[in-house]
Amino acid sequence: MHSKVFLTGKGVISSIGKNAEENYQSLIRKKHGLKYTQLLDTFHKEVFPVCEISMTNEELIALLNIQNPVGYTRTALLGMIAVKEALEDAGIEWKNNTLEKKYKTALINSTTVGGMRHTEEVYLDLLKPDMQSESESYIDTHDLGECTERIADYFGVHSYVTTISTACSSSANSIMLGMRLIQQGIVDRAICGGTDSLSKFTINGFNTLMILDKEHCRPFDNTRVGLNLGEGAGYVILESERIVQEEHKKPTCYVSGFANTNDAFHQTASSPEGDGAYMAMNQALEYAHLKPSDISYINVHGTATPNNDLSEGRAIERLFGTTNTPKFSSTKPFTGHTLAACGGIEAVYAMLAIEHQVIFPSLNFKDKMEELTIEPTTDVIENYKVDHVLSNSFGFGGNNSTVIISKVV
Amino acid sequence: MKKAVYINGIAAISPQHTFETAEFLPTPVNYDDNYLLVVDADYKKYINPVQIRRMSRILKISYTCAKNCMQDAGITSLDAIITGTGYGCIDDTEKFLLSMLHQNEQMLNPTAFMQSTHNSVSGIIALNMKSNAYNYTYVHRGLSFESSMIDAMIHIQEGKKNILIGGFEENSKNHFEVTNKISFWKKNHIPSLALLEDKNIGTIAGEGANFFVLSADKTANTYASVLDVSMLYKPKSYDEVAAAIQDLLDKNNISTADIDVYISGLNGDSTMDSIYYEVADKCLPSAALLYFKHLCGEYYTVASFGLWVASMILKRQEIPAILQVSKQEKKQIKYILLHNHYRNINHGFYLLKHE
Amino acid sequence: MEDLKYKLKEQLIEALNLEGMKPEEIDNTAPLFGEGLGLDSIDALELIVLLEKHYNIRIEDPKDGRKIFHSIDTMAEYIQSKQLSA
Repeated sequence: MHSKVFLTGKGVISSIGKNAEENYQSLIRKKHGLKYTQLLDTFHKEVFPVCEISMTNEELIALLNIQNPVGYTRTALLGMIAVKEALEDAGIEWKNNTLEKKYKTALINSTTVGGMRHTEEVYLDLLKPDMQSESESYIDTHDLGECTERIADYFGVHSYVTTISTACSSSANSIMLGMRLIQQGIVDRAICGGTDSLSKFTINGFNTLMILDKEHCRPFDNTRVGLNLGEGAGYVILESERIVQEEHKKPTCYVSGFANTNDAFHQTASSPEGDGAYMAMNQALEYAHLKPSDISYINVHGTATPNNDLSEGRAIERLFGTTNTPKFSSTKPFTGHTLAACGGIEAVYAMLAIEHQVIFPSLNFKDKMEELTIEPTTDVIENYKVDHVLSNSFGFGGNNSTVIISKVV
Repeated sequence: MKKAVYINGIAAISPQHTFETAEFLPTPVNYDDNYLLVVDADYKKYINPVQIRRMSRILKISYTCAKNCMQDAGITSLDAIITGTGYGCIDDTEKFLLSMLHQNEQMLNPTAFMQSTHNSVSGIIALNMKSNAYNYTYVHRGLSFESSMIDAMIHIQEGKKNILIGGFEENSKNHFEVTNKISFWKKNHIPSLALLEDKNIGTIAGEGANFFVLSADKTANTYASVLDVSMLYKPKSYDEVAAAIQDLLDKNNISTADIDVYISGLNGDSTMDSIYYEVADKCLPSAALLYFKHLCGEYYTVASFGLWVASMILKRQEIPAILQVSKQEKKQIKYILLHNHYRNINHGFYLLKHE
Repeated sequence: MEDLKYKLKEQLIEALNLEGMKPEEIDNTAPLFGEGLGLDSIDALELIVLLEKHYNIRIEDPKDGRKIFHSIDTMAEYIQSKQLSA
C-alpha cells in the first residue's frame, strides 16, 4: 500500500469567485462567468465571449498588498491569490519566512502562458533598438517558471520549486508529482496547482484550431461546437500523514489515485475511442484499489469541443458502462477552460463536492450526443453521498491525467 | 535514492560534433559569434517525410536526438518520457506572436500555435513511438532538466525500468536580441573556445538537445550511475551552496575527497562564475575542475549537455583537454559532481558514479 | 480554370511545406487527404487559412472543409463558385 497523502487546504480564483466559498455559491446557484472581455484588448473581443476575472491587475496587487508591483504578471498574481487562500485554509503560517520552519515544502506550479499576456503587449517595442524602459521589466517574465518564482518568493518556499507544462492537464500533473515527492520523503508537503491568465495568444491560437464557441459552450451536448476560454488559478495543499498527526489536523479529503498516460494518437486531438483517457482513469482506479462502481462523481474534462467530449464520453462508457454510470458533469461552462489551471480548480471543486456532499451541474446540456448513451447531470444534487470523485484533465500532445479525490473515513 | 539508476543510453545534438560519432569531442568547433547553433544532423534519417515537413527545427532536433538515444540504449519501449525546457519551442512561439501582432489577429496559421506548446516535443516522441506511458514536461528555467531527472529517478524507485529524459532549447535571433537588452550576452564578440579569457559580463547564447535513457538495470552499454540529483533555489551566499553539496554527499555516504572531477557550469560571465571557483577551491580542492559551456553556449537546460560530458568521461575514463580548466594528470575517475547554475537563482547538482 | 488549379497547387505546396514536391506531381482528381497526399486535419485548417488569405473566402465550420478539400478539382470549383457569386 502507498502511504496516505492528505488534502489539507484549497484555494481558487476564477470568473465565478475569488475564493472557494464564492466559487461554491456560484456553482450551486448555476451562476456562470461568461461575458465579453472587459480587460483584454483583442480583435475578437466582441466575437468570442470568455470567462474573465473582473479584477484588474492593480486590484489583484492591492489584494495581495504588494509594495513594489513592477514585473508581476497577471498569471503570477492569480496564482498568488489562490495559493494564499490554500495556505490559510490549511492553517500554514507563511509570513516572515516561516513557511518551511518545520516542514520541507514543494511548490509545484503549472502554467501554459506564463507571462505571455505582457509579452504580447510589449513585444514589438522590445524588438526596437530604442524600446521604452517600462517594457524592459517584462523581458524576463515571459518564461513559464518566472511566475512560479514570484509565488515561491512571496510565500517563502525554497526547498523544491518547479513548474510543469503539459497543456491542459498541467495542474492535475502537478498534484501527481506532489503525491510522489511526499511518498518518496523528498518533501513533507506540497503546494500543487496551476495558473493561467487570458491572453490574445491563446484566444487566437484556439481560434486557428477552430474550436472556440461564439456562444456559451455546451459540454456533452449533441450541438456542441467548441470551448470558451477562461482564466484563473487553483491550488491544493498536500500533506504527509506525519504532518497531519503532529499538527492534529482533521482533513476531509485525500488523494487516493492518479495516473498520467499518453494517447499517442495526434498532436492536438484525442483518439475517437478515448484510449488515453480510458487508460488514465483505469490506472488511477487501480492505484486507488477502487472499482468503477465506487466512484460517486466524475468531474469530466468536458471542454465541449466535438473531439474531447466524444473521446472522453466513449472512454467513460467503456470503463463505467452505460447503466449505473456515476453522476458526471463538466464545470467548464462556469469557469471556461482555464488551461493549466483547470486541474487545480477542479480538484478544489472535487473537495467542495465531498465537503458539502453535493454534485455540481453541467450547464447548457439539452440534446444527448448521438454517439453516446450517457448524459451529464444538469441539476444541483444536494445530500448526495460523495465518497470518491474522479477528476479528468486532458491536454494537447495526447496528455491524459486522472486524479481521484476521496473522503477521509 | 535507494535503487540504483543507470544511464544506459545517451545522445547529444549540440554546436559540436557530438552526434552519431563514437569519438569524444575530437575536433572542437570554435565560433566567433555569441550565438551558437547546433551542427545539424540528417533528420530525414530519423523522421518520415510526411511528418518532417511540418516540424519546427527544435522538434526535428529533439525527436532525432531522442530516437538515437533509444537506439544507443537498445530499447524500443519506455515507461516514461520526460523532457525539460526553459523556453520550449520559442521559434514557433515568436512566429505565431509576430503574425498575430502584424496581421491584427487574423488569418493565422494553426501549426505554429500547435507546436508552440512546451510539451510538443514529449508529445511528438510519444506519438511517433506509440508510447502510452507517463509523459511530462518541466519548464522551470534553470531547473527544468533537474526536475526531469528527479522525476525519472523517482520512477525507478517506484519500480519502472526504462525512462527517456531530455533537455532541449533552441536559439532564436529575436529572443537573443531581446534578452541581450538585459545583459544576458556579451556585448563584445569573442572566440567561443576562449570563453574564460574574457572578463566582461554576459555569456554566449547556445542551444541543443541532450537525451538519456535512465534504467533500473545495468547493461553492457551503461555509461554511469546517477546516485542523486538535487536542486537549490536562490541561495543567499556561497555557504548555502557548499551546504547543499555537503548535504548531497552526506546522504550518499561520500566525502568531498572522493570526488575526482567537478564539472562546473562556468560561462565566462564575471558576475556568475565566482561561485564555481569558490566551490572548486574550498569545497572540492582535490577534484579536477572542468567546464563545457564554451562548447555549447548557455541555455536553461544546458546541464543536460554537462550530463552528456560526464557520462562520456565516466564510461571512457578520459578527459579531453578541451574540458580542462587547468591540465590534469590521468587517473581513475570514480565520482563526478556536476554543478550548474542559472544566474545564481537555480542551482542543480548531480552526483555520478563510474560503473 | 487550369491556371487556377496550377496556382492552387503552388500555394498548397508552400502552405503545407511539401518539400521537394512540384505542382505537376499533384493529380487534379486525387484525394488530398488519407490515401492520396496523406494530409490530415491540421492541414485542413491550414487550407482554410489559405483560402482566406489568397481568395478572401471564409469557411466558418471546419466540417465543411472535408468536401471542399477533397481534391484540387473540388477546391478549384469551390473557389470559382464563390468568386462568381461574389
